[in-house]
Amino acid sequence: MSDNKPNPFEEMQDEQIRTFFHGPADRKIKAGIDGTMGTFRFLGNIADVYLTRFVDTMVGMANGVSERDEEDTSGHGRLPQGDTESPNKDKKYPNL
Amino acid sequence: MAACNAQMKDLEVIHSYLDSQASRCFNLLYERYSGKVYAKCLTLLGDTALAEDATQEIFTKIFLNLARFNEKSKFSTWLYSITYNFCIDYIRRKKKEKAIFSDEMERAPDMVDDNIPDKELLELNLAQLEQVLQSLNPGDRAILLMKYQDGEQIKNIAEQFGKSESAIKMQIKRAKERARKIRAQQFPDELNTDIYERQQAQSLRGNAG
Repeated sequence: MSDNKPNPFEEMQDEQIRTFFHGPADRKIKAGIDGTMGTFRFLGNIADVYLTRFVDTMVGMANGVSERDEEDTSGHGRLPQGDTESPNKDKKYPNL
Repeated sequence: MAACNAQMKDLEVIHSYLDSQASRCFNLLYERYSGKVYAKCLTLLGDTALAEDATQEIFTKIFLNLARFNEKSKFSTWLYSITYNFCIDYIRRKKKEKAIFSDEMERAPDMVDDNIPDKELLELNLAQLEQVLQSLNPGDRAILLMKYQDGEQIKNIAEQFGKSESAIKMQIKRAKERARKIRAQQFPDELNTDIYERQQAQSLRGNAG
């Protein structure tokens, strides 16, 4: 009975999918995509780490103060106030 | 956010991927759809090497643009529409054809009477269907795949191609007519059992009776 016959469009797709997963195409494509994704992630990380530093350097060269510098001078990364007391009271050479 | 697993629905996987950027989530989408995307590319482009390259490029596009998926349609519909557009653009560039669909689509009347039964296409065997599809132009191929393989509604197909529903109905009708002609040329033995002709003859007999 023709009504029970499977749709040939779906049959064709199933056959093509079977060939795809049993052949080298799947692994080849996956490796290609992984490579591209890896490259994009790497570039993203590079941009994250170095781009901000580059911008700061450029701002510094232009004698400006970057937002990061402002943050640094506003207490970020300093020792707590109580620990900043140095036993050296010499005002001329305070770092000794 | 929970790590992606095979039980999750597409939307959950997408949200999880966008939150975590975990490659496991993207791999899951790839495993679910790569075969279908490849099959469509193979039917549209007619070459395994081209289909492989196209599948890789389509998934790279998806990876880069997943945040733009607006969830108005199913993920599969969005993915397949990117697939069809990618392949049609490729063919258009290669052949330097500006219009992949014929002008008749623009002149389509509001009411299109599709008198060619679906059975004509659905009764073809696998080898015949592949041959008939490869003889059609890419626009016809894409539209027939959307209708008979993806089971898309005319409305959705029209939205994907930015055409009116009547234009799409006209395109489907024309594609079926062309498929019937190709079938008659390539498989003349089948002519004797042509369902459409038989139905026409039956209806004529019915009217006469």
